[in-house]
Amino acid sequence: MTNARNGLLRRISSLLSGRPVRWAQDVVGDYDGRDRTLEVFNADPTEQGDLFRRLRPIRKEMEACAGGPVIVIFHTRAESVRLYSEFVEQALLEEVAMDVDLAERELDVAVPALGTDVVLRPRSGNPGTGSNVLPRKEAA
Amino acid sequence: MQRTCRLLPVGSGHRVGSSIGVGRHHIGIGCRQGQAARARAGGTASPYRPASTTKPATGIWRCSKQLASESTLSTHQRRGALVPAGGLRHARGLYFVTMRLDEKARENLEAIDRLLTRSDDGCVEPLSNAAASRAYYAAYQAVADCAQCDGLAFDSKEPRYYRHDTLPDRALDWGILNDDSRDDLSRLRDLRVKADYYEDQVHYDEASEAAVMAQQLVTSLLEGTRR
Repeated sequence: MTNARNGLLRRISSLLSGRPVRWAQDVVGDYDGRDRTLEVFNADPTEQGDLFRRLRPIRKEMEACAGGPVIVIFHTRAESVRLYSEFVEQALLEEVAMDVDLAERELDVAVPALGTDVVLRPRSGNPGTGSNVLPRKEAA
Repeated sequence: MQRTCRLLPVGSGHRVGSSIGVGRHHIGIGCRQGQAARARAGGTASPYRPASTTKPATGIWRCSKQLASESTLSTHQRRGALVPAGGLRHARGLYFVTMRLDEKARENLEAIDRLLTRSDDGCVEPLSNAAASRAYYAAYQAVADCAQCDGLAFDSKEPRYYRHDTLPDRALDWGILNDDSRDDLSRLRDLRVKADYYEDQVHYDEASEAAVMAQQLVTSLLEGTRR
């Protein structure tokens, strides 16, 4: 499996709210698109329509990467647990490990100040009156 | 030479008699010569032609150009790709009774209803895998019927059929489907793959939603209100 396919899997999973996904392998039987089948786990019947629509923006990219139209198989939560628990558990563990790794990483780039950041400098020139009363109250 | 009448098993990949040379999803049906002749003469209605059909009342049905080219139709007849109501004669001496895929699509919708039926006493359980499979084929046949009527060629030469993986996109390009109905057909196709090739049990709710999608697709396509 190529790196491009793996990289795309991470994007697809991200689009699908972190659900475990994988390219199907060793499928029994033959059908058009057998070698271009994407499995999505933890997708209940009421969620599948929305999840399928979320893939629309990257459909062309998926097809280009897979070499043709992609067959998307949604596994319900119950079936994910019953039949694919090993893979699902491993995928979720890897995702958590990746999050932890990201959180502990120190940024090694110079981050420019945001527009809202105000740099405080000591006043130069007129030192002022030394009053700490607000100007409007002081005038009154 | 007598040959046994037999419906082409849609989607099964089987073919009817090697000498006939008609692929799956085709509209042709091999049958006894005498039977076809009686049907052509109007003596006996074709058993494969439902009386309820809404298709041309003129007695002329359109068939694929490819089938017409293999028949003994005259050049003039072939040009219009029209065949007599009783069918046409294959070049190798066999008869075909034309049958449109729209009737099979409607039959599949009826099948879904029956497959999803469940009784209050629990004696009849719904068959969700089979229903999901039928839902896809109902939609597939409706789209294929439109494509055949528009004279659009199969994209697989042998066997001749519209490939399942590419049909939703092709139907979109042909103007048969729009973006939403293309997605519906894709989802039905994918659910059918799960139902037929994966260990998963299709959930009743998945099959029910598939039934609704198939019903909408078939209705819109075959009642002339393409989405």
